[in-house]
Formats: sequence, structure tokens, C-alpha cells
Amino acid sequence: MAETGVVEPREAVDARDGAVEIVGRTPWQITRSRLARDKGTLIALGAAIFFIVLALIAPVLTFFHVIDPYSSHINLLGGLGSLPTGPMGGVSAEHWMGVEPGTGRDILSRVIAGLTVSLVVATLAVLVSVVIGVIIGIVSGTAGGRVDWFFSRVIDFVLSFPQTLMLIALSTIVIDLLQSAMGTDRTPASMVFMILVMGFFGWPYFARIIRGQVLSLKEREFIEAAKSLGASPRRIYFKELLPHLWAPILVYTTLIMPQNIATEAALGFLGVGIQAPTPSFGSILNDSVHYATSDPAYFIFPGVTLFLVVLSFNLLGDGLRDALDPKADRQ
Amino acid sequence: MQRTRIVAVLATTMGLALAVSACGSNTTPSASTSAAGPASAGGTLSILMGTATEHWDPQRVYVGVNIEAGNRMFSRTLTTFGPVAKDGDAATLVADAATDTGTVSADGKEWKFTIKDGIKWEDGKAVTCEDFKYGVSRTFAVDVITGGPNYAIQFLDIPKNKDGSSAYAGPYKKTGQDLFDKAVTCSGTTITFKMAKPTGDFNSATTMTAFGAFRADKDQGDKSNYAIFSDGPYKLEGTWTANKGGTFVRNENWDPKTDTIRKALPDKITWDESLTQETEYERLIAGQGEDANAITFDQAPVTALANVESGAPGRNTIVASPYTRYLTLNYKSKVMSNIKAREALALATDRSAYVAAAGGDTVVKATNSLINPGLPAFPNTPLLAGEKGDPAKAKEALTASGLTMPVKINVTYRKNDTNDKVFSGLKTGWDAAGFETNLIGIPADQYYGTLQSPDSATKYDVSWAGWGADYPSASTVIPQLLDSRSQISAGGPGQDYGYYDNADFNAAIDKTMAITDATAREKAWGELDTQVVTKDFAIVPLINDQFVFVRGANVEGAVVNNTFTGYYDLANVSVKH
Repeated sequence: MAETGVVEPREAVDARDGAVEIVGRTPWQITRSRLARDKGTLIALGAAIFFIVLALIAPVLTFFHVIDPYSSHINLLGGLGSLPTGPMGGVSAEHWMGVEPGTGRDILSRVIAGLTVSLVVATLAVLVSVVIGVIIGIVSGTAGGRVDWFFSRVIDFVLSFPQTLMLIALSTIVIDLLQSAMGTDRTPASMVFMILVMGFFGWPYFARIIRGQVLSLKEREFIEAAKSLGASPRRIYFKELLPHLWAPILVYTTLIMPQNIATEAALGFLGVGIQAPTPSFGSILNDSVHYATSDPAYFIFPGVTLFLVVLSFNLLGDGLRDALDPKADRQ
Repeated sequence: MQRTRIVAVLATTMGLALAVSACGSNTTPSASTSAAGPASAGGTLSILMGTATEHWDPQRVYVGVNIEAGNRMFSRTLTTFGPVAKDGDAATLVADAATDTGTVSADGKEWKFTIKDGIKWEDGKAVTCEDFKYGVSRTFAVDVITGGPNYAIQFLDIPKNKDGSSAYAGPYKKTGQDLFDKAVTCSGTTITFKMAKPTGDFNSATTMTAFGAFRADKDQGDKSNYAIFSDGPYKLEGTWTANKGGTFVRNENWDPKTDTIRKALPDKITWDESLTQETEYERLIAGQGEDANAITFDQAPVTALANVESGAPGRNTIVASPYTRYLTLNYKSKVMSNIKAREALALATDRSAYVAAAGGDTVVKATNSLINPGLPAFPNTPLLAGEKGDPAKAKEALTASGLTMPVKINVTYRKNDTNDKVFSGLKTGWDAAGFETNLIGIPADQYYGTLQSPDSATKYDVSWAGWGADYPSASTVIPQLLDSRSQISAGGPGQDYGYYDNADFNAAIDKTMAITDATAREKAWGELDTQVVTKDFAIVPLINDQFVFVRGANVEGAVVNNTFTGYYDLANVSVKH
């Protein structure tokens, strides 16, 4: 990972006797300058931030009726099959992405509201994976021996499970259980279900990476020095090891995010997941695929949006990895 | 039927006798008496389906598709509804395996049928009166032979136990066999049924395959589910694979001279149920290759509707279906046991959202009657608050109920894309009236099982359901859905999903069943329908769907038989080849 030894001059300072002074920079400053030169990644970062902000304020926008994912506009539909009567799937000044066949609901509003669900689920799932994965990775890497062997087998076991099949098979039963335990509507229970399951299947990915990092850091002098000075294991984990692990955690978080978004979309597509009328990318795409020949705009607008969201996180992750260490191992 | 093809079909009908009597061989008529048209015997009819067949066992079949296909292919019944010439024509009750449509005694309590000579099973043995008697007896084995209609238990003169179950437990346990043997007797080829009460339309009930014959030596109980043994023109080749399908070939022992109903023109019928409704309609509309010889019993999904007229001109059919979709309100739930709350829900129901989401008013029509418009009993109950509902009036009723607003309700429905949209629209209307609707979509293969389990009493307040009359009398609608005595038990609500339990109503059902004059009886059913909808608010009828079907370009003679299940009638279907 980031070699602390590389130093790049920031600027040449004229010293009194004409010699150029070299000023050292912290790893973060190095990263920032590399990022600043990488226009592609900056655009991806901007896009990712834009989508995140949009997802966060969507409930507020709905509350103040700026967007409206739930109201029907049956007057905009017509004919056998209740298709939108306007051009390109009902595009108009009020409906920039057109309206949904069958109900006339505004697609732009539904896409934005769906973004909230998708990003919330994907982010929380990643957080669950990170927390579990980092802890197990550090413990496994530092403990070595039988503990390490045991956790490595657990990781293999979990990685060999087919995640999507498990999600589909378990969904009805577990969501019912969660619903009665939480005492809420179905949608929060479905979201918790997906967060838990995706988080559960995602942690081995992190654990392996972190364990690898820890194994290589373990033998380094500063760890030995800390140990010989009598540092407690907890201090070693949090004060010595963790600062070196932020970089890989950050990179792989941004790479797992799009995977989780796509998984949530796939689940909605297969009929598992968020209960109507709450929109999610999966349920929107599931419905729109069937209208591919009669109303292609209904598929194209949300499909392209999902593509852009996933792409921006992917590019951001790649760019961060490049910025943090261009020589890093490509997994 | 298409006008351009009628001439061709009529021309080859004369050649049919030759072709069909050479059952089993692939010869096309070599010397037709008139110009040979394109339609003739032979070829392979392909049936594409997106819904799995749950049962082929004649006593367990209760789904229109399998009743129609089963009866026309391999399970003859004493009487049936004959094929019709064009979509929308009414069919007549005719004899199938019997010599006529049966004779009833003066008091309406005894029915006699004589079995035709010459009807054979696929192994060559004759179909006997005992085979029919055995078939009917299997319905009583309620623990093994599940899923089928229980008209035999309801109508035959066999006493009931204290808990409401029949004293005859079926031919496997044989408890009460002597009681059954007294109610159904065979004398040579004549079978006599003794009814518990006067039953004027018993010979309409015998059109269901549940009253079909069954060979006792072929009975494997539950394992007979897909083990088809035929007495009709087609038999199953090999075995049936659930969720995939099977192939039907000619039954050489079927004698067309004994069968005035079935033309059995195709040589082979393949049944593929591994598809989804969307894919099968894409294929049917495109009509490429083998798909030009295909039909389906699934109706067009909403998403395909727009392409039906443009993509398949001249080979699509839009007809009234015998089905009504409605909501049942759960009398056992705290909210819905309150009559004002039920009235509020009924007033706030926005049927226009249903119509739009289901594809527009060509294919879906709002209704406020449980009985469908095709039946003489249809009372045409006016909508309580117009097609859009009236949230303001509903709010008044809800406030009068005394429940704390917003009133939380759990609403279940069978999950699919269309119903998601339908219920999103309905939810908007209900929430405007002061309800707080929690939608619960349940996948199709679990839906009715969930509604019929006993814990549905505590989990749901409102449930979606659909029902079609089994034969053209409302006596197959009102008692099946609302008679608590035959439906509600320790095992669940049966088809009375809302646990409607009204002693006066049950007494009125008995009175109506006993009315001998058909017109007066149907009118009485209509009045009970209106009462349950507008006075008790136990049911909120929503819509009647139209069926939309598409068929392949080479398929001829496919006419929708509204009286008999409402699907394409296989009796006259042929394939150009």
C-alpha cells in the first residue's frame, strides 16, 4: 500500500543561497494531488456525490411535493394496455422522464425515490460488511495459527454460498419474522433483510483483504517496536494497524457499493425486496423490461440512470485505488 | 372463427370421417369429396403456458384451464357443454359419455344416466358404470384427494358427521362405504345418484371432471396426480414433468363414433409450461416457426396488450371472462369487524385505478357484483360511490366508526407487476379516507394457500381474491364463497376468506337452493349478492376481466367457450400443416 517513503516536492523555495528547499508531504496530500490531476475520477466523484445528495434529500423533496412518486395520472394514459399517450413514453414539461404505463406516475420522481432505497440499502450493507470484515481480518491476521486457520475456513464457507439464491429462498420467511419483531410495515423489514444478508455475504471480501494487509504489516519494525514497548493488542490494532488499512477499506468500499446496488436491483427484478408502492430500481426495471417493445423509454431512462450510478462508483473506486497507490496489487 | 377459413374447414369436415377413423395413422384424406382446404387432421398443436399445472387427476382438478383441457383430451364426463361456433355464443348442455343429459325424478332428488357403449380406456378395456362410481367416490377421500371441487360431498345423500365432514371417508379408508353404495348405484350401464336435497342442476355439475370416470386398478392416490389414464381421444406419452409439461398422442382405443363433441384433429398435442406469460405472448405474437401452431390458455399480460392488435391482427380474441376480482373484508380482524369501517373502505375504493393498471376499459370493467355479467343471476348492483370512489364520504363513515384515525389496515394481494400498480392506486384512495394501508404482496404459488390457512384470521384485514362460476349458475358462486357451514372449519376459512358467518344468510342460501324454477332461483341469488355487498359490506367487488388471447396463424377452430371455463375449446381445434 501507500509507501510512506515516497516524497514529491511541492514547490521549490528559493533559499537565500540559491539552493532549492524540498518540502515533504503527507500521504493524503500526495493522494489529493494525484486525484486533482485525474479528471475522470474527479467527474466520477462529483457524480457520486450528486447521486448521494439526491438520494438523501429525496424524502424531503417528496414531502414538499417537489417530486411525486405516488400520484397517478390516468389521464395521461390511453389505449389497450394503458400506455402513455405523450411522446417518448409521456415526456413533457412536468414529466421529464415520462410516466409509468398503467398508473401514469412520474418516472423521474420514482427514479429519485428509488435511488434513496437503493443507496441506503447498499451503503448500510457495505458498512455491515466493513465492520465485520475488518474486525475478523485484523484478528485473523494478527492471531495466526489455529485462529487464523479457523477464520479462513469460515471465509471460504461463506464465499461459496450462492448469495442471490439464499436471498430469494429466505426472503418471505425472514421478512415476516423481521416485520413482527420490528413491528413496522413491510418496506423497512425488507430493507433490513437485504442489508443484513448483503452485509453477511460481503464481509469475507473485506476480511481477506484486511488479513492480507495485516499479515504483511505484522512483520514490520514499527509493530515490533510497539510490541516491545509493551503496547496492548488493542492499541496495536487501532493506533498502529488501522491507519494503514483505511486506504484499502476506502477503495473496496467504493467498489462493493455498485455491486450491492446491482444486487438490490436484481432482487427487485426477481420480485423479492421492497413492497409496492415504494419504488426501487429493481422493481422499476422489472416492470419496464416487459414494455421493451411498446414503451422503450420506460426502460431506457431508469436503466441509463442506474448505469450511471453504478459507473460513477466504479470509476471512483478505480481512481482512488490509482491515487492511493498506483503500484497496488490488482485483485 | 375467421370468415376466410370457414369455407376451408367445412370442406375438409367431410374428409374428416376418413382421417379420424384411421386413428393413429398419419394419413391425410386421399380422396376428399370436395376441394381439400388447408385445415385437416394431422399436425402438432403446441400449447404454451406460463402457469404450472397443479393437478391432472380428474377428481383434483379445479382450475378452468385443466378442466377444459382435461375434459377435451382425456377425461370424458357424463355431460358437458358443447363447443360453440363463435366466440361469445352460449353453449348447450349436451351428453358426453352418457346417452343423454340425464333424467331426474319428480322430486328432484334422484338422477339417472346411462353410459354409452363403446367408450374404451387407453388399454382397450371398456369404461363401465363402476368406473364412474369409483371416480365420484374418490372426492370423499378428503385427506388424499385434495384441491378438487366438493360438489359430490355437498349434493349426494350421505349423512354428515357432527363436525360437518361426510360420514363416507373415501375408497381408501372405506369408512361408510355402504352409505356411498346406497347413494350411488350401478345397474348395468345405468348410474343412479341420490341427492340430499332437490338439486335441479346436478347435470351441470357433472360437466366437471370431478364426476369423471376413474379406473380403480390404476389408482395410486396422491401419486395419480400426473399419472393420466385416458378415455378420451388423447393419452399422455411417457410421463408428465411438473413445471415443464408433456406430450399427448392419439389414444387408438378412442372411438370417434361414440364422441359427438371432440373432433381430435391434431395428431399430437405438446404442452410446454416452462415459460413465463410475457415470453409466451412475445412468441405467439411473433408467430415464428413452430409457434405458428401454438395456442395458450393464459391470457395476455398487461404489458403485451399494446402489441396484441398490431402484432397479431386477425388472430386475437377479446372476450368476457367468467371471473370477478374482489376484496374480502376480514370479519375476524379488529378493524374490519366494525361495519362502519367496512363501509368506509367500500366507499373509498377507486376502481378506475384498477382499470387503468390492468390495461384500460377494453379489457377490464368495474363492477359492484360478485356474480359476473354472463350469468342470468347478475344483479348489476350500482357502484356505491362511482368508479373513483368518494374519499370524503368514506372519511365520514370512518369517523363514525369510532376507531382512532389513521386506521391501520393490512391488505394482501397476489403479487405481480399489475397488482402492485393496482394496489398502489387503491392505497392512495384509502389513505385519503383516513386509513393507513400496509400492502403485503404474496407470490402466486403461495397466495391462496396463505389465505386458506387458519392464521390468516389474525394477520390480514383485507384480501384480494378472484372467482369464476364453475357452471352457469350462481349456486357455484354465493354458497362457495359465503356459506360458513361448508367453508369455515378448524383448518381455515376455505373459500370464505373473510370469515363471513351469518346464520340468516345461510338459511337464505338453503331456501334459494331449493327453488325449482331456474329464473326465480337466479334472481334470489342476485338479491343475496346485493345484500352482502351493499348492506353487510362483507365483499367489495372490483372488476370483471375480459380475456385476451392470441393464437398462432396455423391454428384453426380455436373458439372461446364462455359457458365452459371461458378458454379456447380444444374440441374443434386443428393445425394447418
